[in-house]
Amino acid sequence: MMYTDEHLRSYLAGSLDLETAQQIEVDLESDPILEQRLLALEGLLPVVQQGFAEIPDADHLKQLEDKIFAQPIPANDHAVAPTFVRTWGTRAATLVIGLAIGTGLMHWADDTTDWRQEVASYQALYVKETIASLNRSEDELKQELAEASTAVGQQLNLSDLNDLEGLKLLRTQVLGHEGAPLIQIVFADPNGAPVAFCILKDTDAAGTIMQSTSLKGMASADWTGNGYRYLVIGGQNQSRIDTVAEQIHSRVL
Amino acid sequence: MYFGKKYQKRFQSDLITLMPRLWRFALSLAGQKDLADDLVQATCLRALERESQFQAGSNFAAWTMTICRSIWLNEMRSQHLRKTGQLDTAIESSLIDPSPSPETNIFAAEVFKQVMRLPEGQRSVVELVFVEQFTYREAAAILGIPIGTVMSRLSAARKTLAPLKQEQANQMKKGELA
Repeated sequence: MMYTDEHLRSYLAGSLDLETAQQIEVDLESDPILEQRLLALEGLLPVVQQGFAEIPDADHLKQLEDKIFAQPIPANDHAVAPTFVRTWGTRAATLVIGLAIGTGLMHWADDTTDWRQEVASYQALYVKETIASLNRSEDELKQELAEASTAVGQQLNLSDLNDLEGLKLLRTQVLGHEGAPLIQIVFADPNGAPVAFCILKDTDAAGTIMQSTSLKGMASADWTGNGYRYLVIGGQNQSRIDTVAEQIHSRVL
Repeated sequence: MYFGKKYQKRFQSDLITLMPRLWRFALSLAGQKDLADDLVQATCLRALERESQFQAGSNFAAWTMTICRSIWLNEMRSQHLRKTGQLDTAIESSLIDPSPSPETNIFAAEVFKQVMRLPEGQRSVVELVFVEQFTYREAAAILGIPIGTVMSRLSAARKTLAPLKQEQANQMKKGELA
């Protein structure tokens, strides 16, 4: 059906007869020209745009951007004040920002440091609120672990991830690092704060004993063995992270 | 999400460019500045995680806003409801920058306030179509609703906001608006 501008103006004003109005809505689904004609007649469009012209405030947006995408990482992670909790995201560079330094300037001590730093930057994005809604059933958790096991080539069992210092298993994701599968298993600590156990397949990795480190202000413990790199990270309680890492080490490796 | 040298820096850059639009949309859903901040943060995180699912050449803004809507409806909205017992659409006229001409600013603040007073469903459609200039069909896809619902929500919003159009016309006549 051909509609005049008068038809369309009446439609927008809500004064068109019901039958024609309904036909316009049906035609809209398959007629982009009709859609453009209607949009061009939307008299409220410039009015509403005026109301949002200064939204959001530029300073507020910059603060949020910094919080999400963070600033360059201070050289000494151990110097970070222990007061930040919600500001993880603020100071912890996201994985990407580390790269913003520029590929040519990225000289990590070794590959291990590289992947740990990047995973730590990613983990720093997680806060209580981020994981609060994760509520997988046992079957879903098993399914995710099965998919991760297939991806990384190491059997991961739900039973190996229970009774870990009060941690609650929330989700397993298959990520990637330099083309290799990287598994991120997310837990909530007893306070609801995020902790992650990560596995990176690296057949060239020489076996190393467990070591504790502060990464991006978070407690972490990592080790390698059997062609895999492992990392437990989250929160500031190094003792708990060490214990969890030892428990996982005894069950998984 | 993929770590390492192969990581696409452009993806992050695109997210940053999109942030003003994303934040406005988040505000239209959540109705509050703090919730909008949290929603944008969660959306950026999820978008980074799902980077590999984004199809080059498709609409990045629509893809990201769909994620935003999904997080709001499936995660944050219910949490907020449980916590407060209601969705409080606080009016935040302080968000308006008090710079240009006072008259322009007063009118802009009034428009913003009126839009934010709309019910959530109408508010998000108005934001997507009138502010972000998505088409009706794009707005329907982002919100996961039929185009007919978009049109009926817009129709209701037009009736509520119609006096603003007249007010703007009156001020234009008086030369109070640029």
